[in-house]
Amino acid sequence: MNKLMALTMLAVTTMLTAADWPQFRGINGVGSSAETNLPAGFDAKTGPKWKAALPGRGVSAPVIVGDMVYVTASSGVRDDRLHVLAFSAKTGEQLWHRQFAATGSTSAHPDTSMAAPTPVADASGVYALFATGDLAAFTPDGTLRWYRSLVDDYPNITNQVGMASSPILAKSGLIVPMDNAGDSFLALIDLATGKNLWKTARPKEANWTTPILRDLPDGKQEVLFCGSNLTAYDTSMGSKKWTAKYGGSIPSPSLAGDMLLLPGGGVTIGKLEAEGVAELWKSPRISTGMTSPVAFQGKVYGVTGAGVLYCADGKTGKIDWDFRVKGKFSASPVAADGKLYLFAEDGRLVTVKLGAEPEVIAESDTKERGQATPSIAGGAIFLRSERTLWCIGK
Amino acid sequence: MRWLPLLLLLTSPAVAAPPNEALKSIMAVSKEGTDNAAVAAAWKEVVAGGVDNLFPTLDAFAEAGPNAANWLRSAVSAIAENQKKAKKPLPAAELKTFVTTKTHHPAARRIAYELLLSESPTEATAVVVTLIDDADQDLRYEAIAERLNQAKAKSPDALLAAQNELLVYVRNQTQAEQIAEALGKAGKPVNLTKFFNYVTEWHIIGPFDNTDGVGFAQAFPPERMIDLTAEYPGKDKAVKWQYAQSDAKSGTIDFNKEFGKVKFAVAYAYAEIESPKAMPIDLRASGPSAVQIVLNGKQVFSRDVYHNNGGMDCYLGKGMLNAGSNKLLVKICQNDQKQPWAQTWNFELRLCDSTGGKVDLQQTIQRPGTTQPALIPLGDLKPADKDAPKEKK
Repeated sequence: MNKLMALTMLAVTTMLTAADWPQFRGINGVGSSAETNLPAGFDAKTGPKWKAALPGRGVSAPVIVGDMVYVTASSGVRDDRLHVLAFSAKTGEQLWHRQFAATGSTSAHPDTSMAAPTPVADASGVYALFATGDLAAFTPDGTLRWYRSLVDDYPNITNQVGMASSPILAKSGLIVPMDNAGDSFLALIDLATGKNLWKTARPKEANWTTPILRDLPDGKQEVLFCGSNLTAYDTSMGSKKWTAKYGGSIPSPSLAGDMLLLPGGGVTIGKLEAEGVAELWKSPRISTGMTSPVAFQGKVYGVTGAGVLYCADGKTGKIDWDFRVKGKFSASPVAADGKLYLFAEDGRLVTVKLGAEPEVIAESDTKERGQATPSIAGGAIFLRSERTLWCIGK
Repeated sequence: MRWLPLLLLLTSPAVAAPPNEALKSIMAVSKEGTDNAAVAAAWKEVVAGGVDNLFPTLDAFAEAGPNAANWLRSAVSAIAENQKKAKKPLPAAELKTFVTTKTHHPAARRIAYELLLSESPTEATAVVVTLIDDADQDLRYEAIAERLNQAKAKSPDALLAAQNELLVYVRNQTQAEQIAEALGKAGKPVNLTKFFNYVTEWHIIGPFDNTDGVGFAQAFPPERMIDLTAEYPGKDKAVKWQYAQSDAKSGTIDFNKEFGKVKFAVAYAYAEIESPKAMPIDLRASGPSAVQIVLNGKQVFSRDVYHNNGGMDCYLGKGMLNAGSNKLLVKICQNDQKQPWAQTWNFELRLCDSTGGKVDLQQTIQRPGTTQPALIPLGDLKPADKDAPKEKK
């Protein structure tokens, strides 16, 4: 039974359509796309489809809805200038650029940036959260719908080592994760006004994971948030429903159907039950450090910081192979079209052809630092290197 | 006709115009997004007004809180962008006047400078080099950086002379360290501890109990009265005041060194600051632990947050020094987080003017081995331990 459920999960993952890539790691954070005929990469001769300079650094990923590509950046001597930008996915033309000043602390580990959380978008526009607790919503034409300084609202928010959890869109509003050592909370924000619909206290601990959503049979949703534990909250009220002793504070989980892929001390596959998780298998070997593992076409893939790529059987957890990929990795891999895209910290997008014998089929060198997870939409790979946005495709 | 000069004055970027209703609405934005719908409508109105609203929007910074300022800032971005898309120039001369009129809000002047830079880089550079003592830290930083660049282009001697001349204006830590390093190599050492005016000598006492973080709000005896000869019940044993002197360039007092690695603990540090006159003072602290700063019995800063990765000056208390002696008490708490990066329990504190510049102050403290308190300068570091093992080269 458990094996059948695991198979179902992996099948659902591959059935997803991904015309858009609206949030960190795509639709509901699965990290994969059903698109085909994707490019392997580019080289000095072919070049990318387009590239655009960014006004600052960032480890946030671009998100794509229709022809809109949204990306955030931060700049300045104190990294306190915050940027939200929109580009045309087709042409790379910069459509608009809005700026804010950080209202929260910008002290953080030098490897990160205030533009660490990935924005989330839909047809109504983009919602951009920064590690400083600044949160803004824009329409696709760059009109400011609303802005919140969460640190002005809640002064005891602290940007401990550099917050990076990304917001997500639920049916009922914007889920804003704000785990930190001070005023730590998860909130649901009204999309139209930016007002709190609910705000529920969280453990006072740093946490870099992005929450995911579970659709319930009655049409409601549950938000699942990893930290030292996995906790489920009712999205309509913000009340805690249950807690399971799974998870970790850096890589993010993903969900397909009722099956969970849980990083933390390795990788665990579990079935979501009404109130909790039934573990199917666990592989301590797939210990991915900062990157989030991905389930794709019956397999689970995870890359360590040092570049050891593991492939495990989705049904059993048995390691099919491990494969050394040159480079260090903090960006999460994404999968589509029989390929795994890994962005190395030295700026190379490494494309691995998946199968019984993995093979590196392209190394596309951006010549800039690579820390942001790639995005896949509209037949192209969107990549954000330290100061450049790239579109790789035809 | 006689009203014309007044009219010109009111429309000049040198003088703030009264805000229109839309700007008033933005400036009054409340917390937690409660009136965001109305403010968003006002934002659209301001942007729709185009470049005519540029300077009124910049003027509005003067009375805007951080929340409102970001609504204004993004409106300025949109106005300028729309002007560029319409292939119309930004008003460079007026922007220049706005940047150089120091009565305007520093952040607004900074934005005006960036718009000027996009419109006329040459004019912007000519303006910025005059701003080495600006109240806006970014303008000051860029002014100094540009002056150094220009000197560097002339000759190494010109660069050294510029570094020597400009250091006094520097407020940015990295810029100060770079200049100090260059001057040091040229045989002109700079003491950055004194440059930034760190308090390096303290009376300290602890640990008191902070189980479950309740000690942050609990007033232990040092908060009620300073008696440097007293002994009190501590977390595990009796505690009394002891002398501590930093050996770190940034004036760090490390309680793990002084008291051992105690978790769930409270410590106090006390200093008597001597001021030649009554004056406002910035008390700028940093450190990873929950902190309270009390000057002459009045709390000037409080933050119940642990293991914030705070850099220099991450906490700011605004206080008033009396002429003569001033009692400065700092409370620093430690929690029981287990992560390796959550073990530090320390603080740094410096006294400066509102720009971050040095203020000449002294302190009274009784150093070990002396019989009487002495008036000493701020920023003396603990002498290197002659018996300490030498580093291998």
